[in-house]
Order: sequence, then C-alpha cells, then structure tokens
Amino acid sequence: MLLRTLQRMVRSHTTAEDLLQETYLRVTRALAERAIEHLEPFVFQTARNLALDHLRARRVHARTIIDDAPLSDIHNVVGPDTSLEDAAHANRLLESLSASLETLSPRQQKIFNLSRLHGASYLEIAEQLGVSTSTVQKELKLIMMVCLSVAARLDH
Amino acid sequence: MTDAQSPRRAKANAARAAETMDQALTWLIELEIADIATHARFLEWLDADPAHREAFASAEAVWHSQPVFDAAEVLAVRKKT
Repeated sequence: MLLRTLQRMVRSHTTAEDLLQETYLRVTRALAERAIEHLEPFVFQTARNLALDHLRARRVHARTIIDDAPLSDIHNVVGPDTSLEDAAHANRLLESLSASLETLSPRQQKIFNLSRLHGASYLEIAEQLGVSTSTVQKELKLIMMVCLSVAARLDH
Repeated sequence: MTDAQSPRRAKANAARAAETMDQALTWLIELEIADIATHARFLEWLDADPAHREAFASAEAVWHSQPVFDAAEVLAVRKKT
C-alpha cells in the first residue's frame, strides 16, 4: 500500500522502491531513539515527506514538463534551503488553508484526509466511503479549488 | 497597446480558463492511477495548449505542497480533540 502511494507520487517504480527503503531506514532509526505511539501515520508521513522532497528536487534541478514558468511564480518551495520569508509564507498558507478547510463538510474533510494523509486514489476513496467515483472526483476538485483559491489570495 | 476587453470577451476568457483548470484538476486526480495509455493522453493534453501547462503547474504546485499536507494533519488532529 505504501509502495503504491509512493509510486503514485513520484511516478517511477524504481524511485518509489528507493524511497521506501529510505523510509524504513528513517523509521527504524527513529524507533531506536524513542517510542512512537502511532506508527502507521508516522511511517506514511515519513514516506510522504521523502517523496515530496524528491519531487521538489526534481523540479529545481531538472527541466521538467514545465520549462518556461519561473518556479517562484508557480510554487513556493519549502525545502532545506528555505529562507525565513519562504517559511513564513508557508506558515501563512497553512493557517489560511486550515481555516478554509474547516468549513468543508464532514464528508469533504474525510475525502481530503484520505487523499492527502493516506494517499488514497479517488477510486479507493469511493470504495471506502461507499459513494460513486464521480462524486469523489467532484468533491476532490472542489477541495482542490479551495486550496488553490487560498494560495492565490496569499500571493496578492 | 492592449485594448480593454469587452465584457463578452472577458466572460468567454474566464469560462475557458475555468474549463482548463477543471481539466487540469481532473488530470491531477486521474494521474494517480493512470496507466501508460492514459499518461500518454495526459501528455497530449499538456502539449495542446500552453494554458494547459500553466493550469496544471499551478494546480499541482499547490495540491502537492507541504502546507496542504500539513493542513490535512492539522485537520485530523483537531477532529480527534
């Protein structure tokens, strides 16, 4: 399940396998240092952060499909070399997002949770919630628009 | 230089932008489970119009960003308390 999630994020089987190994290494190391109460979310979060770091690194160093757009215009990257300003922006974005997402319906919040925290695809979410795939797609796109609007508002 | 857009032209542009963004969001969701053929269709869509690339880039940048993930965590924690 974790490997599939990683694969979906980085879209490369070999990269996903590497990230999976790295994830287990980090989790093992962390476990050696302290007890971890909720292991599954911790593993997922570790894997997710590694995948996101990988995606950001790819965007910065490689010419991806988005050749022309300057990165600063389309993505506020919070990485290892983040300036204080970028970190402050990320925090503001988080605050605004949290506020807006609280206004979502319980079902929408559940869908958001399953999608972002558990890496579930819209098919898996539909199955888990017992609703149609088109319903999940509609809800997901609505949630995405909320996130986009919040992010766009912060940039103006 | 640039003429002010007529209200009708502005409305048409806005409708097209909304349609493009809707397509971009659909692709973002679909790509999570896309097979090779679907991925090829995505690349075709991407190449069809620069506006497609822009929409997809901005949507992906936000949807895959750390703050969105963090917000999901915050939401999950708040619901437990």
